[in-house]
Amino acid sequence: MRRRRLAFSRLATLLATLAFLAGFFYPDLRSGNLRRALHAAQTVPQRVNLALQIEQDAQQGYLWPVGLYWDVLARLRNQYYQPVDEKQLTYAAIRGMLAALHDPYTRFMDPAEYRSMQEDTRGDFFGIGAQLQEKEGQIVIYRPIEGSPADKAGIKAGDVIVEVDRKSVAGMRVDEVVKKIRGPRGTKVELTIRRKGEPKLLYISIVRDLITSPVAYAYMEDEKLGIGRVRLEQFNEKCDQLLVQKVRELESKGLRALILDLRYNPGGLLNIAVDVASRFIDSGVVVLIQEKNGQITRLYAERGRALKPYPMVVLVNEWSASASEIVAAAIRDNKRGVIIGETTFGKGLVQTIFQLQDNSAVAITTAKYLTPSGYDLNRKIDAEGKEIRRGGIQPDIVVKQSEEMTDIDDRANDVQLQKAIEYLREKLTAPKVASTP
Amino acid sequence: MNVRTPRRVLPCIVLMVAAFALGWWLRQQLSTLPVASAHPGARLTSLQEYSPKQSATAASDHSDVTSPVSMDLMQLFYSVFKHVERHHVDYTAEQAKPMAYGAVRAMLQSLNDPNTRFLEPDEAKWLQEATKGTYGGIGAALTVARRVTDGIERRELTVIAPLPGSPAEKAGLQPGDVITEIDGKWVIAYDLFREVQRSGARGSELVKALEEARKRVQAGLHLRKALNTLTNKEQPPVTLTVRRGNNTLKLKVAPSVVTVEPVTYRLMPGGVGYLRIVQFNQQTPARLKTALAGLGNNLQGLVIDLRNNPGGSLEAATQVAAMLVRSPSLALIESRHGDSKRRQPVSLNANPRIKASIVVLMNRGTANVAELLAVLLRDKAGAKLVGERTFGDGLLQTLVPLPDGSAFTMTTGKLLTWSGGDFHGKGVYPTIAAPTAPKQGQDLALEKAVNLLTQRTTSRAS
Repeated sequence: MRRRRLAFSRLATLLATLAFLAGFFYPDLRSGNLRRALHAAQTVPQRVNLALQIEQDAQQGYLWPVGLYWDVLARLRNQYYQPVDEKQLTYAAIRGMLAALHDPYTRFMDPAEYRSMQEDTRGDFFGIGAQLQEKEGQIVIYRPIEGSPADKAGIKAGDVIVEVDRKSVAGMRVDEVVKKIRGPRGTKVELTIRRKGEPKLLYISIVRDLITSPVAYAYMEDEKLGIGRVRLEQFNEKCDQLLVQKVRELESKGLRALILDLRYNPGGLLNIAVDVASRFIDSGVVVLIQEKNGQITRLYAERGRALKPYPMVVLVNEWSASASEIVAAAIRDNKRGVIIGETTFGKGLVQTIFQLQDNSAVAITTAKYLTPSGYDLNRKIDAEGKEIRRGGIQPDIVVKQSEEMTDIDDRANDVQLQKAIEYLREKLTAPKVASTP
Repeated sequence: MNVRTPRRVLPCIVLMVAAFALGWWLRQQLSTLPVASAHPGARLTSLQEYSPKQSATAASDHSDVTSPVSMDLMQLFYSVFKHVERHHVDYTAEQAKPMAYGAVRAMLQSLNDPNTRFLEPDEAKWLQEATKGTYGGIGAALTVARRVTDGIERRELTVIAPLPGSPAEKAGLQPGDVITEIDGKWVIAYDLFREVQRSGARGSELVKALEEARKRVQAGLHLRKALNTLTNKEQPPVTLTVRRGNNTLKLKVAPSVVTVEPVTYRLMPGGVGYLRIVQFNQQTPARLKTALAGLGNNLQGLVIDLRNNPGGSLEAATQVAAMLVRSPSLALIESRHGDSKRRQPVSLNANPRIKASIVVLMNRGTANVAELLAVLLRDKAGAKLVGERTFGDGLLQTLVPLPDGSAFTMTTGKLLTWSGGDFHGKGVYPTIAAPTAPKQGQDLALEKAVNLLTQRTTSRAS
């Protein structure tokens, strides 16, 4: 009797559960869509969670973007006179929402874009060793890496890429062009180049190869007075060590004043920027990292690493970005030297990539760099591409580069370099003001 | 045992039914909860429709808004917003509004339909004032007309009709004029870069063309901005560059506020009544009633002037038609229902008192519901259509106000004539062609219309 009762209540529970499930999946069972039913079942906890979250967030009022988006999507879906693709509408809405932040680095990647980005960073691809930059709708060579295939083939900084393999790149983004240029090692890519001063287009074939790390270069600009120059192309792991090596080289030739050339340097790793700055600043703040909610972290120069305190000039131009801008500003704000050249690019942002449910992703600017004096160096543009804030580091002495200059080794026409040398000459030869004991 | 089992079966069945119901209810809750709670005030009941019938069908469709697929999309959108809110270094609460507007604007733009666009609160206000008959700006009904030439899609800012007494009319704007520049700034009509690519230019020619294209776009005006300029009453005078046929004209217009008297009438010699319907707004039916009473019952004929009538509210047009012609319906609306199309009549509660014969005057500025009315008068009241081919705008647009004061317009269907004729992009042809623009103070089309009516009455009398 007792066992029977137990069996019966078990049976009843089982039946009730089945009835519950039947009720839950009734809409799907009726429509015969099993996949949808399974999907619905899988996402139940997720959706309950989402529903609760949204419930909470709804308190924030109507203008909350999700509400408006959802409202408009629902109406389009029901009333628009042609069928709508809700997924594409949603992607468009997400892009439009992010564009309103006026931050070009915060962007949405649909599943295909995200996949190709992952492939790019995995390093399975080989390139030609030139960094590209979009400038006023054109794809411009930042600077070919020395010794790279691009450099050997004669590509120069400032060259405009018109075609890749005879296909126009007009209207493409930098990452799209980069993708076209990259390919298997040993294969050829042909670039159509427009170069300042050349009446005809140049067609240059380059063999793709593994790109080795760029380096630092030393030049003795004035042997009599001992004015030396170290040029850094990028901030990578070897950079700090090489900088010291190059300065030692110059010291053996009687270095008394130093030019740090950061023109065309697109930046790189932040910790390297701090290391490099520590070579010139004995103590003090190198950079401020501002995070969400205004919280600011100070990064200090590492003590005991500084080189001799030579009089210094930092050379920059509009292609000096990110870590370059940090180092230049750190040297100036710590009163270690002056900046000569042109206003820098204006990028001091850190992005974090968040993967989303459907294998799309969103890159969000999660922090930004401020100079030690608290200046936000970021350039801002609006949704239509018009500049609303120039940003960048303003040099102490603005010198526009000569139109005559053909490439970065054309020292005869390099008026920025000449100004730097002139400045240091005056500094070295000026009668010293007696310092207070 | 035998006695007890049925007693147990009953609660068991009740339990099962309850469990089934609970499951079903929970499922419903899960799929509707986020929408309902996101903004309870924003359901479709607040929808202001041109046609009350449409709004009823829309509301009933609302039940299947939340399928699991859409839920995933909402979740996607939600997570992106949440990531930005939590992690973006510059995000502040003030950005929620521009982000919301940016999202909706981009979403609507992606449909690539010039009549489906987002309106910020100030723009929405202008448009709503316009449906009541008050216009700010140059005072012309404008549309963005799509035209494909040489494989390039152009979206041109086109004048449907200047309103009577408006700055646009005073400046001499005419129906069909295409506004190409405002104060010398190009109104961006197409994707220049694509055109350059398609032009087949190569080498340095291509580079030069691209350079020029970039400069032109940077100095140009986007359609949205152009429309804003022309509908802003506080705008200082502007010089418009206008393409009319093969000619290019420059016209200076001083924007102001125009209140339109939607219906004017007068009794003409020979007992012919003249009735001009300028547009179909909320005031139009009441004004028409007054006008018809004023013209009296003993008309020899009636001229209904629909020239430069850009259309307006379907609701108003329905009421107007009911006063003029006996017909079960004014038009058919073709709309989408799921993946299929359906046609619904816009029915009339017709009670016309007019016995006189009717002549309709129309021209290129006669558009949308005005075209419907012309066809209906021709087919059901034997009216002659005098003038020029009409504009050919047969899209039904709905203004959807959103709770924060912004709004959007969307194409919700196609207007077909009462018999199912599609005039969109084609226009309605006159039964008697006549030039309609007044020449040296003489309105030849009107004279022709009056002649037709008086001739007919005399021939009947004899």
